[in-house]
Amino acid sequence: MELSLDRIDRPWGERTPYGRAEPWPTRVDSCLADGVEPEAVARWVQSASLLDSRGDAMDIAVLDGRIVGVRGRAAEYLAPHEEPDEEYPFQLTTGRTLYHFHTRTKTGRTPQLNAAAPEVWVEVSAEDAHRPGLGEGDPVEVSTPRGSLQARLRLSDVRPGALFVPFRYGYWDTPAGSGPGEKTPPRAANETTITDWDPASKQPLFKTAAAALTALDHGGGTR
Amino acid sequence: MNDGIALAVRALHRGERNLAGELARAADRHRAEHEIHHVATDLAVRSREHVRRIAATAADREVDLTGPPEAGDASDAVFAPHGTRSSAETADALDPGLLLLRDLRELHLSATANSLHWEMLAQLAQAARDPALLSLASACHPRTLRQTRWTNTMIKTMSPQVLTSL
Repeated sequence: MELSLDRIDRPWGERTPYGRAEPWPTRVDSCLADGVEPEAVARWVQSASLLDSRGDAMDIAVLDGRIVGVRGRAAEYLAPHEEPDEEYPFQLTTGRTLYHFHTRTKTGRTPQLNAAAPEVWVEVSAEDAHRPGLGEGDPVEVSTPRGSLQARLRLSDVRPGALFVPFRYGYWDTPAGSGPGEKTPPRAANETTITDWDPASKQPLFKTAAAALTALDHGGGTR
Repeated sequence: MNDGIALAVRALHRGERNLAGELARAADRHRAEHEIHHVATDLAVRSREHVRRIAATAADREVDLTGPPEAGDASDAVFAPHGTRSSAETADALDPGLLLLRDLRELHLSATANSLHWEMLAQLAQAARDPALLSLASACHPRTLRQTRWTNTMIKTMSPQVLTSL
């Protein structure tokens, strides 16, 4: 009987997809952090992820107690289809906010939740904000090759070069009703991201776009 | 070097180079179809990678990839690349949907031809006990199969729309 089996280190124990003590399949695809060579990896930990029909799962590369990559049938790395350039120097990503759900059609009608996050905002690192002289609460425009939105700036700990915009804000509760209008500046984050999706799952890719950040004066025009 | 290996390597070099070009042209021509544009661009990168790896293998083994096959070497013509038949001139006159289906069909046939050549090379490598060649085929063939699966899926997706709206 095994006296102590470290279930974190070896979650599968003696078992493999083919049975007890059968060899694991050979794994060839690996994705390691920059500068880490496969030989330098201290341990490959078999992960407890589900096996696919070909009977493989992923190994996690550990070096100095940190995860430095994976090995297995991880999908091949593909570079983003739009990278920052001179005109659009930031990498825009979109995401959630705690107080709202989907398009805010429920949470936006709950006064307390709506008051907690009533308007769209843009997060930027202090480093990127200070260079053009921008500060917390300044009105800005985020534009991409497809469209733009206007919002107040928040300085946060996003990494330099990145912009974050929550995608909850659409137009159902604005005077215009269905899109930007005279009193409704554009604010829908997902209309600025690239139209692209995963070919297998069809999951839309709302998470990366190249974007520019411009200061607005308080009347809404560019400064 | 083994003539059969030279033949298969040359066939694959032409076929992958050809497919990379076809994919890039399809990506450019069907910009409005977002999935075609993005995925064809990504898949063209894979074929170009294959071309590089084949060229490196050919250089190691002194297989000449440049220029047309020597006159009189009829066996090379047996594996002529697929996809040179579709005439670009008719493209403008075609319904855009039909043009897309035609391009997908050509891409699928070209990728399938490459897949068969990879299979031949893999079998040859095993028969000749040539581990370097076998690892080349094992690395590239799955990605060629992925190209054929995608083109087949896109034909499945696009055919009903295109053909019911004619």
